[in-house]
Amino acid sequence: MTAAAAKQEPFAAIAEFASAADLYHAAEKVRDKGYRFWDVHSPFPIHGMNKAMGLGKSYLGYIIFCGGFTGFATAVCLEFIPSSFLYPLIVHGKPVSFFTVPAFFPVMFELTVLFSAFTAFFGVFVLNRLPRFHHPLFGYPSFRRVTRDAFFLVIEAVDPRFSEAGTVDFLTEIGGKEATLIYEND
Amino acid sequence: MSNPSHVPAPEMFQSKGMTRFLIGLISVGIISLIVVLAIGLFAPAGSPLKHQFIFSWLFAFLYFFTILIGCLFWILLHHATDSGWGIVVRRQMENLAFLVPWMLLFFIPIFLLRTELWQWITDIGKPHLTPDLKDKLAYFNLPLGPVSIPFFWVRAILYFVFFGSAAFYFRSTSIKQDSDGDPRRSIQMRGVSFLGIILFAVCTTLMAFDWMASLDYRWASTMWGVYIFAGSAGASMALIILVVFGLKGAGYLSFVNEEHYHIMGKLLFCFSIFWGYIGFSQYMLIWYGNIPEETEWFVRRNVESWNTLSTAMVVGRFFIPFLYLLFQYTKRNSKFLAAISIWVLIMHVIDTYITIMPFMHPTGVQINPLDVLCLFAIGCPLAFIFLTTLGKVSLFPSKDPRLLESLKLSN
Repeated sequence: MTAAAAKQEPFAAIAEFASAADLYHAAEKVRDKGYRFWDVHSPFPIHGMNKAMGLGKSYLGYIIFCGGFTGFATAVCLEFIPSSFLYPLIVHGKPVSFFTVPAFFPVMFELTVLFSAFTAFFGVFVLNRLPRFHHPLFGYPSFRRVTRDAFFLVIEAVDPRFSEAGTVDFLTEIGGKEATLIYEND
Repeated sequence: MSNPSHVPAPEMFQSKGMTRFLIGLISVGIISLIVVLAIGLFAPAGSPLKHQFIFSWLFAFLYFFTILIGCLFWILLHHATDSGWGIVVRRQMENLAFLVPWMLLFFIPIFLLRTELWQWITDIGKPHLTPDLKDKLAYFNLPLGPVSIPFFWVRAILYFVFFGSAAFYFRSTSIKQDSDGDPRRSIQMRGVSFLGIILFAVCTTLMAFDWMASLDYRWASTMWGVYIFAGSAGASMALIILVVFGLKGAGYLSFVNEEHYHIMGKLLFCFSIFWGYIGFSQYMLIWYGNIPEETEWFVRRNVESWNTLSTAMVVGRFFIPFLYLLFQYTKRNSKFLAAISIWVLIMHVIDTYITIMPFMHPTGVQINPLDVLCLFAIGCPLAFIFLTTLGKVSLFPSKDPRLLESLKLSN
């Protein structure tokens, strides 16, 4: 490590674990220690990991509900304002009244689904702070194996409980191998 | 979260503490059965009372029949998709579906009083047939060679043969697996369920046409079978939830947790949406197309007070369960889920009522005491049979190779 790099603020502490089970139990210990800004990385999804990490329910669902409701309201306005108020037109002998509403349902349904899907898609991007072209973790050479056979646990430096020596020691203590610090510009 | 690493021992249901309840149940059932059958069989032919009886009976029969075949659907789906989540509740689906053969007994009054129900049976005896009936005669009463085979009744028997034998096969194979734990039985059941799910679709669609839609033989809708299926699958999931909830409340199936309720809640939720989707699609196409012989079905259900009931059904069977089950909490909390399950079962009563009864009371809703009595006359004996046979086998497939997977379920 060069002298210039040592002066930098670390981005995170990282440690490798031997198996999914080890990572799972390590995550439970990190959760119990009270860390908040941390994550685990594995080649495949691990069942029950969100419980082991103590993650709450994502609030994406509430955002999608708002998006879906906006779509529904858009459809209601786009259909009722022209067809019932601005330019009422009798089609197929159907009355221009509330009872024409079944003809409007498909559009209401479609716009609700469309807006919900868009909100879900872009909501995930925003919540995950994407798109992002580079991440400090990619500078850590071993991290390339995370898509193949390696399991990592990363505690970020923004966490209030983070300390350069203490967190690395803690990661070693809970069974992590090669616990080390990662710097922003590595 | 409990994380069991070993498989629990088989649990047997003990009905000792509920003898009084069982006696009460069968007494109510038998008394109402005797009352309605006496009214139905001894009322003079063609009288309004007899007419009312057979319509109420058909309504009650179809209410329970659709729910029970819905349970068979869940078994078939479970095996066909090789699901692991529901091994712990699958035995209850099997027990419920196994009540289908008993429905054959309750079908007898319908056969005896068929001319009161289906107008076309008397019409085909007449010398001059209307063109629309003439075209459909092959379906109703197919003549095969020299002997005229009443195809309608042959089909009715085939439905019972298929639904009954499928329910018997899946339950008995699953029980055999309880003793030997042979994983090949699971694979065999999966193979059978592929064929079974096709036959189920055919039988349910034709059953819906034969027993419900042919009350007005001029009416036709390709959505009708799906509509009946959607309603019955949702209602039977509600019943399965209630049976599991009841057993858990009585101290059995302690390993069924909120994860299992969550999945059952999701299925109830999706079938509420599916029912609304199919019901609306059918309604909108017919309403928009505006062809007299098609709209007649909905005109009949929207005159006078029928309109209020039809509107209430749309709100109650779709909007209320949809908004209620939208939240994760209501799906994971067993009490909230049981409450909406009762609600869905009540809505299924109204759904079946609106299907059958407008032919009896075309001028508006007239709830007759016979409607309620017929529900008791069929429902109480079924509940009695269910509860008395429940204790004969383990309450869950105790040696299913994927039981542990189901116990460790995580959404």
